[in-house]
Amino acid sequence: MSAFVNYVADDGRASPLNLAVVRVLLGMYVIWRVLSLEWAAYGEWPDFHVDETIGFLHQDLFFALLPYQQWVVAALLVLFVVGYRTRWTGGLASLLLMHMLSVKATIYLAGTVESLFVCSYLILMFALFAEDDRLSVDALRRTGDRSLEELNAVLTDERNRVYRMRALKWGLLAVAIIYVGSAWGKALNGPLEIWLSGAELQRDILFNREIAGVERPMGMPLVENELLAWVGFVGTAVVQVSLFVAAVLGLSVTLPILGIIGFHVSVILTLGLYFIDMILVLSLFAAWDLAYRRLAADADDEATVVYDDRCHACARVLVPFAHLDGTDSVRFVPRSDAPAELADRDAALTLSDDGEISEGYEAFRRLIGKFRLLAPITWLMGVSPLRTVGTRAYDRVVPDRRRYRSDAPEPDSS
Amino acid sequence: MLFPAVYVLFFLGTVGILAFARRRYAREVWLAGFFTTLLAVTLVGMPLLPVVDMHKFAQPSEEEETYYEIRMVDASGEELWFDDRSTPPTTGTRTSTVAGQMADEYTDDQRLEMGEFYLENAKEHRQAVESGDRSVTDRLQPPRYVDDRAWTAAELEGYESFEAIRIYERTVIYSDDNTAVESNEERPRVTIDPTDGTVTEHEESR
Repeated sequence: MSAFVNYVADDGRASPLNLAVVRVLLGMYVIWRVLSLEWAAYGEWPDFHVDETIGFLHQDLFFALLPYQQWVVAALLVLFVVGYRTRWTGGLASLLLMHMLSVKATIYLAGTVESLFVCSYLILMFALFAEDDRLSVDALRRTGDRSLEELNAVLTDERNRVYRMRALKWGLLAVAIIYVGSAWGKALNGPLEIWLSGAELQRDILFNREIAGVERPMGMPLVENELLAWVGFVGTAVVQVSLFVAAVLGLSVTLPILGIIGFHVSVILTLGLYFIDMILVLSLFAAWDLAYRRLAADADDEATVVYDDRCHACARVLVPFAHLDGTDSVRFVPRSDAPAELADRDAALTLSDDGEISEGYEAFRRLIGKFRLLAPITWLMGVSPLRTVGTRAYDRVVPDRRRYRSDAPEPDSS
Repeated sequence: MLFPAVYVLFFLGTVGILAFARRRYAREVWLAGFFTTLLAVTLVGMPLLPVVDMHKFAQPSEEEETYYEIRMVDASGEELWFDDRSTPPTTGTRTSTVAGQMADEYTDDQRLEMGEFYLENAKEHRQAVESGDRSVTDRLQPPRYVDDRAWTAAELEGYESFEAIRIYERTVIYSDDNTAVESNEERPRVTIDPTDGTVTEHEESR
């Protein structure tokens, strides 16, 4: 089973998709979370209840800035989501968020804060290893520095590429260490006997019911059956440690991650809505690329794209699609190598799919449609006002041959 | 000194590493520093911000446990349990800690200041619950951390305006086989009335 990926053992994947999916999911989730916290309320607390070790963070100025900083973080994260200058948008968003969370922690360091710290670490890993990301605005910008020959080579390459995902490697390791801590904490503080009976879990559930004032019917079987409670208590520690062990030994992390998600679901059912963010964090390590392979068109359904290999802009636009195409569903053919019926056209881009030939904007739209994940974009691009705007934009970026034949003798410089 | 030093060093160091991320060993140095701190924090079980641990439910429970409750006292002397939604970002366990400090540690001035904070926030929250408005942005919120019980407008109807808070100490005793709570006794500790500026300790009930 490989529903989840052990990036610690091997951070190379055949598709760059996972990194982009995680960047988008993580960024959007944190935006939602950050904008939902009541930042303006924290400064109202009297200041004498603060833990002295972090008292230096309990400053009026820090609290006064929180409601504004949330918008700065959100704006930086929007740029992070599309992958624009990830090193700094991600890096600064992460650092600013960590500072805000630290200030909040002077009042209360609860699960939401800790989970968002974990999200911040992951965002920071993305910033540190920003160049691994191939499906981002940055990657598209970087193609501008590459020569036409290099771009053509990328497009016509056999595509047995390996994409490194160091952000996910170090991110998974950090998450695994944090979970070891969850199990270690009980060993550190408790007498050895707590591991020999279910009493700890029984009491925790009972105590929680008293203090929260809510009945948890699903908690009762564990409270009433000591053996079940013991299995739950020891099982929790086992799954929490197993992720680190599997990650470091190079084993599959699928069962450990499913185990920890199962543990979180049990907590929600027996104790209440704690640590729900961690379920999202764990799901980031899913094999999104394998799921996408099932959805994507395969090599049998291959389309041919003939592009103008003397046009730098055309090649640049196509490079991200070449990276995304892990299933060889599109073959990119330079016009100089194309069969006559496809080569002898004015448009810089021609797509032939299942005998149907389209050109220009329409070919581009259909190319996007080949990547079924992007089907909504294809649909939007076909709606009439967007089609008009899109055609204009397309003409500007990818001029067809007639145009540059008359205006610009050196199309390569575009 | 350690805490502010690590804090400042982490932020300055990370910005520096981001600026020189492409230099040889820059990122290795950052990763070594980060993971050393994370491991130390995880082993010791004490956060060294901005590096945190997640030691959860790590304190072994006793056969008898104590927690503290805040209750609202209205104009006619009726008591109502306190809804933690009034004072974000806290939940029950933190409210219990603060209530315990109000009972045992704070000076009367501090009790009055904290008491007023709780009273004002409770009144504000009560108003929001009674008005029943939930804006679109409220609906788009992620679920609250811990879905504990919440005040309802119908429940609040039976109360006059809140005037004071009262702290209760509660002692939970589990049955021998831990399958039930044998008793959960309450003992009033202190009443804080910011409206009159009075603090009344209930020592006689000890």
